[in-house]
Amino acid sequence: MTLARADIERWIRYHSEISYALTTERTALESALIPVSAYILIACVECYRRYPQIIEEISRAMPPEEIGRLGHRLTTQIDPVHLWAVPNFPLVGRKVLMAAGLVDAADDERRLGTIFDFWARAAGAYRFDDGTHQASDARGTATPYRAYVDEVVAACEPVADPEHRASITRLNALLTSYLFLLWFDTRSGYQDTGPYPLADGRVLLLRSYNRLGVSHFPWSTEVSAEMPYREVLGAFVLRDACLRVTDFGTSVTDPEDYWPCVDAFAFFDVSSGSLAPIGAAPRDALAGAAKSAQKQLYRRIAAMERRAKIDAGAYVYFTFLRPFAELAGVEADWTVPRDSTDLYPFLELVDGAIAPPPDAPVETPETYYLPLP
Amino acid sequence: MVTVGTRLHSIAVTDIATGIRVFEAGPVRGSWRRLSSPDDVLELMDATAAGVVACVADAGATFLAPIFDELAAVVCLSGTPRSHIGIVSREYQVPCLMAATLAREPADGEQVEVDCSTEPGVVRYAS
Repeated sequence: MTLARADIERWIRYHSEISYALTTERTALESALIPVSAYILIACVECYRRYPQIIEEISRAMPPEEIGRLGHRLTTQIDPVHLWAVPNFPLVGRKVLMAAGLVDAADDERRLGTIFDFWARAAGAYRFDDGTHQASDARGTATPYRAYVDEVVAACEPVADPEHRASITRLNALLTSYLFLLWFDTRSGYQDTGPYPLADGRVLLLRSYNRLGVSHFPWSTEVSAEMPYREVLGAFVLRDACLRVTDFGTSVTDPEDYWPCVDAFAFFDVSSGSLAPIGAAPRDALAGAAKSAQKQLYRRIAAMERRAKIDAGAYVYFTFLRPFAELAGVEADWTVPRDSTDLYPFLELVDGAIAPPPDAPVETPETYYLPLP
Repeated sequence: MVTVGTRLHSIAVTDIATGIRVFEAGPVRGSWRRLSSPDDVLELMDATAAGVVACVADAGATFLAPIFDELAAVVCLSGTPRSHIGIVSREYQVPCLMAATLAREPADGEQVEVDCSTEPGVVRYAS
């Protein structure tokens, strides 16, 4: 199935406004360790050129709505940032190719129609068919795990004292930081959902720590084998804090530092898809394993050639569609680079950001992504 | 007070830098260290990063990853509180300034104070 031209234009404007705001908030993304801008360029061109075909295969195997609803289960990785990426990675690739005069008008409409149709149906179902498609449509709310809330809250333990709080904060920080590294400086290794309002006025923040162990990331084989859990869910009950989540799956809180507002917490091993609380001693072991794995991985990445880092980062980005394919039972070719090698000679021009050409119009919320040719 | 560059806020003549704080935090002191390459980080990882105020150019989360928990504070010369390095600093509870403007740069090893109790946050020489 594809979409009418007017619908495609509407979705371009929709994503243009939201992604303009998100990237304006975030601004810089470069790292002295990893050439993030360069790998994003490569990955997103691959996404524009290859996602439509893979999406067609996925849609034939399983309706997008069913995939969206499967995101209500733990560990599927059908989550805010993966859903955001499905249209936005190809749209970023399209920006690059348009600037280079490499987009074919008729082909562009077909590609975007396929992508938007799949995304709108999956995202709508993920959001319980309430008429919204992203957290941005709902004042920063994404609550896919609402069915788990009672069981999660029942397992939460109060934060006893500052030392207790410090140990929880440290574990969360180590997992978060390790996942940023494992996922090559993307924030998709951990995903926040919420706010889940509780009857007593407090709110629940749920944080998924994804793929902590060995996964399809080749570098995980060496460094992640000692991680005691593959998938962990963190639960934080907040008092007197205003919480919203972005479509990047990141919390924004008032006050900015929400840790003093954490009243109660729990960590769960969710590798099997159900909630298995993790006690104090295993939590300490998990923190130690994350710290150790992080050091190993840093050494490994620091020793990689620039080209190898770009290819690895591009693989992380390109495989954002992989969870959708896996749920549908589709085996796709995730090799990267494959259809972007013509762009590699231009990577030297990327210096800190994907800069528009000098004669490009100034971007606005309406023109972050350009209309159909 | 003198205005630094085109920023809207001003900086006292005795201050080193101002920047957007990621979260409110009281003043912390540490040893200034400009970190430019992964080798700089590996050197601290093998020794210690305890008490270091790390000054970095880029806002990615990964560059400081293995030493973040030991740092006294981070001063980043780009980005916003929602950049990756800002997010990680919040989780580690390590005070962090973003888009910091340096009026002058201390030598590595000089003692500085990072004060995120005000907005903008300030870096000054420790007295």
